[in-house]
Amino acid sequence: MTGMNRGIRLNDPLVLAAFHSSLLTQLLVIFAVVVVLSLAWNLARSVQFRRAAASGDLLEATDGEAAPPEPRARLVLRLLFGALWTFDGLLQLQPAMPLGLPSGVLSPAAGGAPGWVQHVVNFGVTIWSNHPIIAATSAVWIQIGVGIGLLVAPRGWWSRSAGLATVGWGLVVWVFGEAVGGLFTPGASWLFGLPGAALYYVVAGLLIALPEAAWRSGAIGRWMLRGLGALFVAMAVLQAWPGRGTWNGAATAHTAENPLAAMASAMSGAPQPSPLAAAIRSFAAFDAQHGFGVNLVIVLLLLGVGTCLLTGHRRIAGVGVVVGIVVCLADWVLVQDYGFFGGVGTDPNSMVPTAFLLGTGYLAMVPATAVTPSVAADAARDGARARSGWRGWTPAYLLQVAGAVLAGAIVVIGAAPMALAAANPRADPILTEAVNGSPNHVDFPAWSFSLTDQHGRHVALDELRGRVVVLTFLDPLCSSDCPLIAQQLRNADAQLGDAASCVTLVAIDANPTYLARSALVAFDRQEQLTTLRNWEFVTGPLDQLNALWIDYGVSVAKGVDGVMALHSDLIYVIDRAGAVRSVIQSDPGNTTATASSLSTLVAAEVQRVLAL
Amino acid sequence: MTPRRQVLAAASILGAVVLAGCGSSPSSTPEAAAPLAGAASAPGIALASAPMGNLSTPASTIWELFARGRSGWVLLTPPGVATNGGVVGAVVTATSVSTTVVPSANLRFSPVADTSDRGATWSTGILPGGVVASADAVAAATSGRHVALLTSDGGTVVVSQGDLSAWSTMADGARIASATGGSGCGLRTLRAVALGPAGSVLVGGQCAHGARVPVAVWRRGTWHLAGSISAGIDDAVLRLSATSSGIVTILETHWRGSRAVVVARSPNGLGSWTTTPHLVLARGDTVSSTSQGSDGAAIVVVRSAGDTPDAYAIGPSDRGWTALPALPSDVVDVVAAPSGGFQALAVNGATLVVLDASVHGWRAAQRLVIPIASGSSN
Repeated sequence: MTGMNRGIRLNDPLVLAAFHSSLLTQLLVIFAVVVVLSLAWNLARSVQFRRAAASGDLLEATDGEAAPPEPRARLVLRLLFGALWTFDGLLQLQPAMPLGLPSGVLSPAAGGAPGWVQHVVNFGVTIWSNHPIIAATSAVWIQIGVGIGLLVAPRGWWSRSAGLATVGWGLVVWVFGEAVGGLFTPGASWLFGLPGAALYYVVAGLLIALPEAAWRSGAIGRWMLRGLGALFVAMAVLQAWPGRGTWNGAATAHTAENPLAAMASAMSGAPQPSPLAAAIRSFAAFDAQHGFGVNLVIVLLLLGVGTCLLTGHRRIAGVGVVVGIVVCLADWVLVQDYGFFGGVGTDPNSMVPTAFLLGTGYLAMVPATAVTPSVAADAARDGARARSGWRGWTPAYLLQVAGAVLAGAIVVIGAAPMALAAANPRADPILTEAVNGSPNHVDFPAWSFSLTDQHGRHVALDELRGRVVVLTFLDPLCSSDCPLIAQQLRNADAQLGDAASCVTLVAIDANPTYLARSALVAFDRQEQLTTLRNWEFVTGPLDQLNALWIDYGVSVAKGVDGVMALHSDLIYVIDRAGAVRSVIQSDPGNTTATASSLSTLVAAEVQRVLAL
Repeated sequence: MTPRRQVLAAASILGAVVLAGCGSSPSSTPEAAAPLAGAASAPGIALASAPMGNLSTPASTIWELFARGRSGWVLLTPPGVATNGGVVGAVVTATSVSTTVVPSANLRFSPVADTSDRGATWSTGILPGGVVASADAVAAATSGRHVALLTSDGGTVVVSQGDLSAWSTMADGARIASATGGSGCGLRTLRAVALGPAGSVLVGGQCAHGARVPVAVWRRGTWHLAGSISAGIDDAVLRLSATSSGIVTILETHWRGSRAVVVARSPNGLGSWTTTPHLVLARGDTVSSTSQGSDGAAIVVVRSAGDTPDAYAIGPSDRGWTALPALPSDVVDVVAAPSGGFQALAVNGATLVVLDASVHGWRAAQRLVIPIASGSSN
């Protein structure tokens, strides 16, 4: 019935099945890539072996040249963030992701942010909402691909590319998923995730993308820790800033609740193992009672850690790193609640990557003096490879290249459909099918009618033979569904392009109180349908309309007591010969995406009937 | 990094953080609006509108129109359209009523529906836009002439000569403001329309400058300010009616440093006006409902946050306002009773209770349960 505006459950079985099906298809493509790469690897090894055997330097070719070890800090950073991306990608497999991410993560992240931030985030929300399956599967593969890339490509161009991929996707997540990290959101705090978990990924990606030589002195470690130190000090100032409620305890008549206690309390409500929830609840209760003291400790800790890191002295900074990691872990457990519970958790939030950067920053402070001489050897080895091409690569390096190619392929398999989807403003038909069910394909004669349109002209179904008719029932005084359905019919007409010249859109008045042509004209004007040439809004005597409503199975109830007239939301697609070929339930749902999805489905059904 | 650069970098981050944490949103003062809930009475009939249902959400708030006849109050909400935005009724005769609906949600124009048989049958039409959310958004005369005030273009006055689907525009807000600017008013924020006995059209609002009764009348092809006197400062029309006994308007004004309500009356709207004593409102009070009688009587319901409402009445020849007995908290409208007393309409969800004033306070006289659909129509 009109006005129902049904929504879609987050774990709608149709959407979930499509999500799984799409993942499986892409997994098969990835498997095919693995097979091709395996064959290529075998082929390359065979060629290498034959040539080496022919030239008599078999031993040299297989051993290859001794490569200098990757700087330890870079190795740790790469592996940690590779694992983190892979874990994030696996989190994207959660069933609620396709439909739940926009409303459960993206929009809330922008809540309270300035209009321009909400506008930017809404761009991402719209793309995801319109194409939930493509977006969700893309997020899975892009993150797993970037993660694998970081894990398997230890050296050279491939590895640095993985770092750049981390920067690129991290920025996308930071802007659209975290509303630029909450930088412009009132009440944001380092404890809750400021300046955004993805920003740490971006920093890590930039570091990995640096030339390896940059890692061989201790300078990069000092820079990392000083940067983090400045952040900690800034966050301490923000945490201590008066008027933000951070010094409050429990809510009183004059003061708001301590935001930290409120956040912890809210996080404890997320679905999770009960011992975890109990720990957070206890902390929330403690903070509510001792808000001032807790905040004082937090401010002092942040200030202390920041100051230690800013010194640049290894021992003092080491103390800061240890304390900082402990603080991060405490916040991760007691405030951020691990970050990935609740069904739409996308990552472990900001504390884990912060701790990773602290640890690797400390490791990077150690100058890699022992391996400095091998820089020349490294260059010589690269030069030799360049001269001999892939035939000079060692088996291990060849395997790493294959792994990196696989990672790149996985990213492309994820990113390409998303890029195409982002360019398509129309929502996928699966959304309206989740709301209304799939169209019913039938074949029976349509009931004829002879009515008057909005211009006062006579319109009869029989006179529309030779054209495909999209027939629906609309209430011109409707304040909910009918305007949305009319807009989607107009959108469907636009999607048909030149084929629309063979189509007539007909709406029959479904309000028993307002049968005059003036109501239809007002509706058309309101919905800007007056310029749509193939649009016919028809009315007639109540007894004729009553008969048509019954014929077409449209239940119409006269609205009384302040409620509008109620009627079924149905669209019939009638072929050129006057036979009904498709019956579409047309509840536009409760989001812009579900409404837009209806137009895509109608256009597809009309195309199908045109082709019959 | 040199120490100086380190300090600069840290200061930049600190600055960004402080800026991020100190955002504030601009504040604005909302313009006072005439209450939508209201009542009107005439010999043999009274009309009252009230919000019902679940008032905490607009989608579940449904406005209903009630009419009082010989057998008590009956539901007279026009069918076929959602009334989440509000419903407005105008008395035409003792048996005929004209109604319109304030559009809501995806509807942006208003229908008009008239009945002369207590809602058994309706004649309907469509306005060329949405009406303002005001108790006097539409008026009708026995001749069939209708006038309505639309929200478009700062308040557009449209008239119909009887065909409810054929409306012509008399003036928009800019034209009325311009025509009345030279009279020291510049009528704006239009809120009410009325039809005079001779078919003249009146429109009420608020003066942009000066201090005059903010009512304009259409005469000899142009708009004239109807009154040259002032009841206070920033007079704003809450209600406007024109009957055989003259023009009556309930005004909200500033008087001696306080907000107040006053009734201004004119026998013909040609400049000769009298005003009643001022009903001074306490700080935080708002006028939540008004009622007008065809004899010039007025009743206002005043509400402050968390308190029970208070009602005050003044008759056509009274020298001061009378405080009515303490009202139950759920009273929406108070209207003059046929017997000369008062009736209050209390709303609790889908139930309307009609209360009669007695020496002991208010006594339930009638109960109407309205079958409001769960979840409303939006």
